[in-house]
Amino acid sequence: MLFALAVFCFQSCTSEYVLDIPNHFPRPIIPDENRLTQARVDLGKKLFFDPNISIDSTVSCATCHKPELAFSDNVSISAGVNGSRNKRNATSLINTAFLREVNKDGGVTKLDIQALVPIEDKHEMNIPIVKLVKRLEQDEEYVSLFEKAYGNASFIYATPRALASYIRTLIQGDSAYDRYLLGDQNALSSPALRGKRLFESDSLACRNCHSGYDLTDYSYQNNGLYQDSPDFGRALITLDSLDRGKFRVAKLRNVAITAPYMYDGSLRTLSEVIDHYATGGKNHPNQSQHIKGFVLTKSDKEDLIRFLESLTDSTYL
Amino acid sequence: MLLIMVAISCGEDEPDDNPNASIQFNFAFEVDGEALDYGQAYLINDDVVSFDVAQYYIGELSLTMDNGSTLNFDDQYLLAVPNTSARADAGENVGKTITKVDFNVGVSPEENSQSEMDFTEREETDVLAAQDPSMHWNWNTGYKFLRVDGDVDTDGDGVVDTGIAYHIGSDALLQALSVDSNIKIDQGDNSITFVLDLADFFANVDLSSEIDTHTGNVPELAQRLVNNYSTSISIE
Ligand code: HEC
Ligand code: HEC
Repeated sequence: MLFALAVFCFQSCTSEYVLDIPNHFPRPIIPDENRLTQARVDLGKKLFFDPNISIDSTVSCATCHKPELAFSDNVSISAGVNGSRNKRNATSLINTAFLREVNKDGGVTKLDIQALVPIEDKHEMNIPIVKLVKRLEQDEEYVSLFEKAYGNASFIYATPRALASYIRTLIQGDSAYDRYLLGDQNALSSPALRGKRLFESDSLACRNCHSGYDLTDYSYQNNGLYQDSPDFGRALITLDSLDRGKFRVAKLRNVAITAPYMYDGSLRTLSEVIDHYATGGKNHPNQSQHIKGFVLTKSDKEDLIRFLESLTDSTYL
Repeated sequence: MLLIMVAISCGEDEPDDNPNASIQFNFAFEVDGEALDYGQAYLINDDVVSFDVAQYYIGELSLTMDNGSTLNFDDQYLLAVPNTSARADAGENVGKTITKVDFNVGVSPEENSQSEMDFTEREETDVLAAQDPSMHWNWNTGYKFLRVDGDVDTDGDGVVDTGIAYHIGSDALLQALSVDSNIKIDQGDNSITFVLDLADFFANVDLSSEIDTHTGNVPELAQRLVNNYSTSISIE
């Protein structure tokens, strides 16, 4: 009986989890030591939705990364344990599998250990990883799932890697815009097509930063949100004052359902975002030269919003 | 060319497994020469402060003997935490005198990069593995080379009311120190004590207003503290 179980697990647990990657996407970044298996993804998914991994068992990853909002949140700054709030807006986790550097300032250089940020941050789950794994080691169900997924590896090693495995499966590439790119001429409405042309125009210059399959070139830029950015962004990592107020160019996939916007969630609507760019930014010393302001008619602005709405993918909705 | 393999073992009150000669590394923390007690109130630069974490990594440790030879602890790190110690074999050096102690405060770029091996992949007994209180940064790659946390009185009523946190890290702030010493290695136990005096460490810091650095958010303060290592860390 035990033997039968073990054999069963050997086959299903080590079975590779095959990602469904759209043709126009790059290869995801998956280290050899953390290949995707069904068991790892299952463990990661359980951890992701489990409030027990926060200090007082009230906050799960899904508290701030809600599946129905493309795994983001609809408030400027989400509350962690005890209602505590940090300083950044929760990012959508769709297509995180392709990131070389994680978080808006790129501070985390591998997704495989990113989960320690929310787990340990006092404004999020507030539990030292060393304490959390002691808790998980007491739970028979988890013990068995960890064993299936990572064999004898320590829980400290396996916990963030299982969460990364689950997050790597959150891939989307089937918005109206994707279908248009893949040759369906009717996928975009005429207003959305006009908006696309504006988005790609030299005067708006959105495409200078927002390019590629997720509408980001992944560079760190200052888009002029503040004259004196209270959050140093990329400079927190590089210690270089020329990087102050720079953040990773945001993905725009699903942008219509991931309000509010910018690193601190200070802009409430797409209309406010466009107004921000139209004014040419607040002139931070590190502001990009591509933020230079422009004039749009009311209907141009509506077209641009229709285009941004065409980036919504309903796979998980 | 491979010299003597020197192994350091850590722990509190470990049994002496080398009766010939061993070196015990001790870590003392002081405030104005007085032993640090967590939670106790001290006066530093007219500010009332108390501490609840004070620890740092020592890397690339090398002891220079009076005959010019060196005893190197390559690739081994010590985590200086109050009331802990680590022990190393000194067998071949009995009779020599340690004239200089060289070390880094912090973790070398190779280990700090987390690329070959990150802190979640290390054995529990490795000081570079995840610690509680943590010495790894989760939001930033690498380690806190040194951290001091506590509370300060900001409103002048003599009672601490606000958290303070000085977390220093990142490759650019890895600091090498070279401290003269005069420690004779005898048969049996020998000890080298690293002393960090927090009053000297914060000598030019206004604790009630400069309440934190997580390095990148206040890099200037972090650099100032690094510059204070040489006047606040001594060897006894
Ligand atoms: C209290 C809210 C909160 C909770 C709980 C939370 N997150 Fe997040 N998450 C955020 C915020 C805010 C950011 C943006 C942080 C930044 O970029 O600096 C973020 C960013 C991320 C990113 C980086 C995405 C990117 O594009 O760079 C990942 C991955 C992530 N979270 C995974 C998780 C996981 C896994 C959990 C559970 C262990 C979790 N989060 C729990 C708020 C939260
Ligand atoms: C210089 C590069 C640059 C240019 C040009 C640029 N952006 Fe951005 N954009 C960014 C960066 C960087 C962010 C992330 C800022 C942050 O996190 O605070 C961003 C964020 C956004 C967001 C918010 C996404 C979110 O989830 O918070 C939207 C929407 C957006 N940009 C749309 C546009 C449009 C439309 C244009 C053209 C009018 C444009 N951008 C031009 C760099 C740029």
